[in-house]
Amino acid sequence: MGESRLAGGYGDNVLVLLSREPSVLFAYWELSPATQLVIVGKKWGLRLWSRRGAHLTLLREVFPSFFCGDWYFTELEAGASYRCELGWWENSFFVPLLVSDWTETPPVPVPWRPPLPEELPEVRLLVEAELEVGVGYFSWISPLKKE
Amino acid sequence: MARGYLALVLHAHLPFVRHPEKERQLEENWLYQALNECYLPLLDLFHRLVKEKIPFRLTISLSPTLLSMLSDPLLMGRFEAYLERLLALASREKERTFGTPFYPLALFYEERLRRHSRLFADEWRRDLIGAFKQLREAGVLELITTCATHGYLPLIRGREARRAQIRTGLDHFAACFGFRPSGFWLPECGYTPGVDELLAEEGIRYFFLETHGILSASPPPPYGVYAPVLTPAGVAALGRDPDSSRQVWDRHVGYPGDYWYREYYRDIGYELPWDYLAPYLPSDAVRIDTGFKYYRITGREEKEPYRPEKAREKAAEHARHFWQQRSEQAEYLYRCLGRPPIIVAPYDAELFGHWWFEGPWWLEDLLRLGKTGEDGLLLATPFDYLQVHPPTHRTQLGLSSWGEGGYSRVWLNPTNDWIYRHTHRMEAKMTILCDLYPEAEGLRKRALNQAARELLLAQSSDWAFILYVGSTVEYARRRVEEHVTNFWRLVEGVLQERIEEAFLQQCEAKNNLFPWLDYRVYSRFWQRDGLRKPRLKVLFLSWEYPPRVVGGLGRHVYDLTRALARWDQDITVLTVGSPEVPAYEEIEGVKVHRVEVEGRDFLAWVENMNRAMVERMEQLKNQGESFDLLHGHDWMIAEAALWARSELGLPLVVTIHATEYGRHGGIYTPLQAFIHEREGHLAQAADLIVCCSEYMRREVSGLFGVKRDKIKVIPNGVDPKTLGVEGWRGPAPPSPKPLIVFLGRLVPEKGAQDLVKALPLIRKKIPGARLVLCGRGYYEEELRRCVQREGVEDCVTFAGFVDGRTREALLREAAVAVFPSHYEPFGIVALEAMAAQVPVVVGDTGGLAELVEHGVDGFKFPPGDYRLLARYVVELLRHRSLAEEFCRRAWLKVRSRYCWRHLAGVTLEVYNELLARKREVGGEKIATPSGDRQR
Repeated sequence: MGESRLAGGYGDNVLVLLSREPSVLFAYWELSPATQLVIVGKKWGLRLWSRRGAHLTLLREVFPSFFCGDWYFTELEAGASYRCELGWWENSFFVPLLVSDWTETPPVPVPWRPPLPEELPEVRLLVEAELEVGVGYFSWISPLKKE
Repeated sequence: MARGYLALVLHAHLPFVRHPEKERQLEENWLYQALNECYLPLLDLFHRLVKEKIPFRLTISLSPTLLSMLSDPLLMGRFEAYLERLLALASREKERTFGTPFYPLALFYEERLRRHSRLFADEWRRDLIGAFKQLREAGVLELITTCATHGYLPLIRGREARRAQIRTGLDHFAACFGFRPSGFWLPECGYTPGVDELLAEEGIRYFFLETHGILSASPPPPYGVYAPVLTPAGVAALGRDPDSSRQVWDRHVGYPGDYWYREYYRDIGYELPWDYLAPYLPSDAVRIDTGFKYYRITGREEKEPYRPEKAREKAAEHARHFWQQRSEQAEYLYRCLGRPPIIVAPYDAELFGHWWFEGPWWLEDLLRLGKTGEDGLLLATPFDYLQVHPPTHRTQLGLSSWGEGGYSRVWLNPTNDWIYRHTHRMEAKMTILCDLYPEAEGLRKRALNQAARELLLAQSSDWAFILYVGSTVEYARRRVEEHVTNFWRLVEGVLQERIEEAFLQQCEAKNNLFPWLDYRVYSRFWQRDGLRKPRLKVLFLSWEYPPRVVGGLGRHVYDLTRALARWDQDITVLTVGSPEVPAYEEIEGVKVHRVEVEGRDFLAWVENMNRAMVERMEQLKNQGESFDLLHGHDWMIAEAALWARSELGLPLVVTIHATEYGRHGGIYTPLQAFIHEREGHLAQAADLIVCCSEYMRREVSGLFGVKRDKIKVIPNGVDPKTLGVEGWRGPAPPSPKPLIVFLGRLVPEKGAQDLVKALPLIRKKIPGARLVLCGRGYYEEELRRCVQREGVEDCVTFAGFVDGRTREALLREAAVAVFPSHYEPFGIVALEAMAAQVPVVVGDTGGLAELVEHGVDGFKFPPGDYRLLARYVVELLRHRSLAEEFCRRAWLKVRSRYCWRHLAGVTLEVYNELLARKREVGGEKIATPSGDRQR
C-alpha cells in the first residue's frame, strides 16, 4: 500500500532507526537531491551495527535501490543496541553519509513464579505484616456508610 | 486484614471524529454506538450502585479525544438524533417482530433506548463528564487520562513531541475535571525508556504496563506483576495480571464467548432489506450495526433467540467465578509473597456493552461482590494501593505494549509504516517553529496552535491500528493525509508570512479540540508562562568580561547578560577591571562593576580577585542594593560566590564551562588538584548548575557526584552579527584553491595534528587545497614538525592568534572549517563557523557531537580517524551543493536553537524554577558548612 496525497519526501537527509520488537528494527531514510549526487554511481547501502557493552559488531550490509525508502532488519538479538549507517563503499572502505541514533531492541521477559514461603526471609514477612496494621485502608467506605 | 487487592481499570478512548461539514459521517457512529452501548450503561450502573450505597473502587481512564467529543455540542446534539432514529427503528421492530419469539427482545431494546435517552437528556443533561465527576466525588471512581490524541509513545520520536502528547492530555483532563490525575494510561500500554521521565515531570505517580513489560525489567521484579515497581524516574509501574485478563479477553475461554451471551455478529443492519433500514442508517450506502441483535451465541451454526434474563444469570455466575478466582489467587500470592498483592485487571471500556453486551452486568455484579471484603480481597485503585504499599524496587523497563506480539508490531508494519516519516518530520518542524517564534501573536499564533493540533491528530494510534486490522482503511488513511496536509499548509503560511485565514478558520472549526492549546508545548525550552514572570535582579560574577577576554567565557557572559537585559531583567556584572574602561559603566542595559586586582602569582591573583569582589558586594549591599539571585561562572569566582550565598542568602547558579580534569584528561599536578577541588566544592554548594552540553552534564555529574537533576543543560549561543553575518549569504564560492580553516588552541586535544595528516589525502583529490591553522598553544612546534613530515609546508599557514576582523575574513573565505577535537565541552568555534555559513567537519566527541547532526548539517568522524576526515572534506569541496545544503540547515539551527535571545529566555526559566523551589521550602536558610571551611 503506497501513499497518495502526501509528499514522497521532504528534500532532506534523514536516517531513522526504530525498534519494533525484540528481533525487528525498522529503518527509513531519505536523501536530499544534493546528497544523491554524492552517491550516484557509487556502491551504496545500509550497514547495521550492534553494541554490547563496548563491543561493536557489524551485523548486516544491505543494498536498497531507493533514495527514499525503508527496511526491516529481522532476526536480531533482544536487549541489544543497534545503529544504522547509510553510506558508500570505496573499495573496502565505507564512508558513512548518514548515521542513525542508537536504538535498543527490548529485552525478552523472564518467566516469573511466586517464591515459595520458605524462600522468603522471615524479616520481610514481619515488616510486611507490620505495614498492614491499622492502615485504615478504605477511607472511601466511611462517607458512604454515613449516609 | 487485606490478603490482596483487585484493581479494575477501564480505559475509555475513541479517536477524534467530528465532521461538521457533513450531516451524517459513518465514522461518527463510533462515538454514538459507544455512548449507547458502553458509556451510558456503565455510568448507569455506577450511579445505581452509589444510590444503593454499595461501596466500590474502580479506575477509569478517559482519553482527551473522548472528553473533547463528550463536551462538543454538535456531536452531543447528533447523538440525541441518533437515539431518536434508533427509537424509531425500535418502534418498527416491534411491529415487524410482533407474534414472533423476537418480540420480547424488540421491547427490551426499546425500553433500553428509552432509558438511555432519558439518562442522557434529562438525568445528566448531556453532561457525561459531569456524571463521571459526580462518581469521583462520591469516592467510587479514580479518574485518570492518557495522551492527548492517544499517540503511541514508542513511535513518537522527539522528547518534546512525547511531552506535548502527555502534557496536553493532562491539561485537557484538568480543564474538564478541575484537577490533575495521579495516574496515567499509556496509549496501548506502550512504554519505551524515557517516557517515565516525562511522566515524572508532570507529577504522575503511576502508569500501567502489559505483563511482560514488568517481567522483562532489569533487575527482575521480586513480586512479578503483583506489586508496583519504580522506574528510574521514580514513577510506579503496575503490570497487568495475565489470569484475570485471560478470563475476560480470551476469545476461546473468556466469559464473553458463553453460549447464552448475545451474538455480536448477527445484526439486523446486515440482514434486513435496505429500504427498511435506510432511514435509520448514518450513510446512504453502507450497512452497519444497528444494535438490534436477536440471537445468542448458541454454540452451533443455527442460532437461537437471545434471552436477556438467562444472559443476566450467566453474567452473575461469571462475576462470582471471577471474584472467587481472584480471592484464591490473592490468598495464594499473599502466602507466597508475604504481602498483599495487587491484581491489576485493565480492560478497554468499550469491551463492556459493545463487544461484550453483558459486560456491564458482569461488572455490576462483581462490584457488588467486592463490597464486604470478607474473603480478604478488596477492590482498590492503584493510588489506594500506593498509599499503603509504596514501591521500593527500582528497575529499568524496556519497550512493551499490550498490542499483538507485545511490542510495536501493530503500529509499525508495511500497512502503516509510511506514517512515521511524516509525523516525525512534523514533530521536528514544530519544535523548530517554537524556537523561531517563541512569542507569536495574532494570526501567526493561531496558525501555530492549529498546526500543533493537526500534528497531535496525525499521531493518533488509531489510524495505524485501523490500517493494520484492515477495517475502514480509507478513512484512516484520509485522516492521516488530511492532518499532514493541513499541518504543512499552515506551517508554510507561517514561514512565508502568508497565512490563509479562511483555511485556518476552516481547520479551527473542524478540528476544534483543545481550544486553549499553546503551540509552545512543543518547545524544547519554553515552559508555560515562562515569559510572564516578574523582573529579576541577577548578579553575575565572572573574571572575564569585555574588553578583558581570554577565552570563550567572557564572550559568553557578555552575550548572555545583554540578552537577559533585553528580556527586561535587571542585570549586574561584577568582574575584573582593565585600564581602558571605567570601574562602573552600563553596557546595553547591563550594569558592569569592575574591581582592581593585583597579585604576585596566579593563585594570589585569584584570591585577591575574590576578596575584591566580596568587598564590592558589601559596598553594594551598604548602598541598599539587593539581588534575587547570583550567577557565577567557573571555579575562579568560587570564594566570592560562596560568600554571597552564605552572607547575602542568594540562591547560587553556577555555569561550569569546562573542568580541569576534562581539559587535561586527568589531574596530574598540585595546581590541577587544587582547581579540581575548588570546582567540586563549588558544584556541591551551588543550588543549580548549568552546563553547555549533555556531555558536560555527564562529566560534571560523574566527577563531582552531583545529581543529574541539579544540572541544567543550556547550550552556548552565537550572534551571527558578531561575525559580520547579517543574513543568508551561503558558503564560499568554488575555488581552485579552496581554504580549509582550523580555529582553536594548538594543544593535542584539539586534534589539529589529525587535520595536518589528512591534508595530503585531501590534496590528492583537490590539489589546490590550503589549510590555515589559527590559534596559539604549546603544541605549535610539534604541529610544525608534523607539517614537515607530511610534506605540506607549502600549503599550511600558522596564523597565530587572530582578532575578530581576521576571523571574519577567514570564515568568509573558508570552503570548509574543521574542528577535529578529541575533547570538547561544547565547541563554540564550530557553532561560529556554522553561523558564518561555513560547512563543518568535526570530531564526534563531547559537545561537538551534540552540535552537529552527521550528514544533515555537517560531518562527524571518530576523533583521530584522519582518513575519514579527509574523505568528508573532499566531498564538501567537490560537492558545493551539498555544502550549501549543510550550511542552510546549520543556519536555521543557529537562528533557532542557538539564538542568544532564546537562550536567555531559557536561562530565565531556570532562574524562576530555582526561585520557585526556594519559595516552596519556605525561606530555608542557605547554609554552606563546607564553604566556611574553605574560607
